[in-house]
Amino acid sequence: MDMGLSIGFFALFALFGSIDYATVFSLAPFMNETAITIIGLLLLTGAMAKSAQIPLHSWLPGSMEVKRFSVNKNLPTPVSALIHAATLVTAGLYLLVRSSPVLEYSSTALLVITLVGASTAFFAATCGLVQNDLKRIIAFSTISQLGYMVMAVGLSQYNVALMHVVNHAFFKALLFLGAGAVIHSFSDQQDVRKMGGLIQFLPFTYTAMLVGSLSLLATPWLTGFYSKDLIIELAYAQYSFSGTYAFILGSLTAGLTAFYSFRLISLVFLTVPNGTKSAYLHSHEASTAVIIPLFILALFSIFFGYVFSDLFVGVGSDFFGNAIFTHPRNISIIEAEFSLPLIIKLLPAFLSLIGASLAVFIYHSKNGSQFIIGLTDTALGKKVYTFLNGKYLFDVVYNNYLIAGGLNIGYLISKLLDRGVIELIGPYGLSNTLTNTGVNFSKLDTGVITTYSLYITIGLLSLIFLVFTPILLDNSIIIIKEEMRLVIIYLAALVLVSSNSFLNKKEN
Amino acid sequence: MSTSFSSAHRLYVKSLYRRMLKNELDWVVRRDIWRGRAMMIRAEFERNRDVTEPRALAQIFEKAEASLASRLHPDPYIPPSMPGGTKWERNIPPTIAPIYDHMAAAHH
Repeated sequence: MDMGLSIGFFALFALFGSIDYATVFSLAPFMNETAITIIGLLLLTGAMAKSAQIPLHSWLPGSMEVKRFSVNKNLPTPVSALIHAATLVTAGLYLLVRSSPVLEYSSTALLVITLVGASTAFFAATCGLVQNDLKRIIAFSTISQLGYMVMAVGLSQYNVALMHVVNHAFFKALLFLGAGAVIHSFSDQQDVRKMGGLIQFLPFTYTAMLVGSLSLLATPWLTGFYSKDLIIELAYAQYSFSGTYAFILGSLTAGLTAFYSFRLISLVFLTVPNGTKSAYLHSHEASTAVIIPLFILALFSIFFGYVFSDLFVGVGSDFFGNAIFTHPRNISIIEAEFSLPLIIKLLPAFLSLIGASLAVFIYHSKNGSQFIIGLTDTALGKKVYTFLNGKYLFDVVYNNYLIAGGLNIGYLISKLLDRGVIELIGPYGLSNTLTNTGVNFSKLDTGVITTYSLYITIGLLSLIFLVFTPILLDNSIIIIKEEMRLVIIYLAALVLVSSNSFLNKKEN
Repeated sequence: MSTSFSSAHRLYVKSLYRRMLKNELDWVVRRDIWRGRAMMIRAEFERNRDVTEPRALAQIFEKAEASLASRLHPDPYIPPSMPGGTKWERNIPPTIAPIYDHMAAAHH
């Protein structure tokens, strides 16, 4: 998909004659909309791969989990926190935000971006519902939040997307580091099915994870609330097809986010202990070096949004200056802030509340557990569980159909081109030709004197022919160069003709 | 205790019992709920305890394997240090032997 991004840059250069920000952005309004759409979609492919959007998301949970029978090991949690919360996955999003002056002139590209983002948010949230690996749950939550950000870009709310990037970095880093603290203290156990009751053993880590989760599910006035809730409101305030699509999926995802976050909290910290006794005996609160970053991140996860929301997404804030361009047609912040019905504004928070309480009920109380186990006992429930747990079977499709196809094509290219045609007319063919020529020439050595005199005659005739041909062709003065050319052609022909291994076989 | 079953047979039955119990725990998670189901699985095994006729046994095993396969958990629990687990082969100590053949030759 980096190839798509490269082609996007080439297209930019072909269209604008420059890939300089200032030139491209100032010329964008005057360009053909179809061309801008193509460029926008090509940039989107790059962003999709980097920011783990459907259908190029599978690398992100893959880097978290251990694939059975593979040599790839999962990342240490601080690395996960760094690349999945703050730096790596947001690069694609940053590309989209930075290209806002181009994207704004293609409503088609924006529509596609919205659909991709909203679908990804929903898809990842549903997958996260039934994952059992602690880090994989958080990884799917990351994909889901990236879906929100891309959705915000598609809705032309670049500043909100950027604020969600920043907020997400705080609470997701907090969650990852908290998860690392849990895993490390609990005998490197990552499976949430073998945890439970850790609130008694890791009260500080529990608090940190709870703050991160609450911020993630947009609890009012925590950091996540100021960007995530706003994205959903802005989606509704567009009053368009894509906006409504994003609003519906975004609201559902908010509920699902609350569910899987509190499922994690519930299974790891709250319910009856399901792990081994020795793991509990050895569990311990993390050292100061872990507690300090968790504390700082928890503070930011609580207060950052409240302090900085007016700067990033306030009505009429000129914080971003010319860095971000929103077409006046697409501005919906005023509509979202002042004119939405109260029920629409409260809907995501309401769904989150339902999701969170449902998760605590289902995974904490015995009746709830029996209810959810009863669901997986049915054939349909098992199928749904397998489908969601298998991440919509994207990996299966990729591994069985795409990757095998790619390998086959690679094998064909290697065998037919690289080691086939190119070898035959290249190095192998050349050396083979020369060898055959030598073998054939050596056969001329017959030891019969009359044959030798035939060679001498033929040689003399051809030399005379070579020297005098230019004069025969035209009456100009003999030029050494032309003559040399004939000699070379003659010698090459001699080598090639006499290299024929067919002659060889006949003799034998 | 003398028994009419071969040791291979007993190993197989034990393996089947363990696989069923583990698979059930993967689904159920909570041990207090799992306990009831474990007892049901045990009861099923006990019911067929005295079946010695090979054809009847083969039928029972076939049925049991089919029901286990239909209930198989897609994401079974693997202990961290076991093959396929999250800690498997993590931080393997470097080999003592030289990595390349030419290093194996004694220089001094």
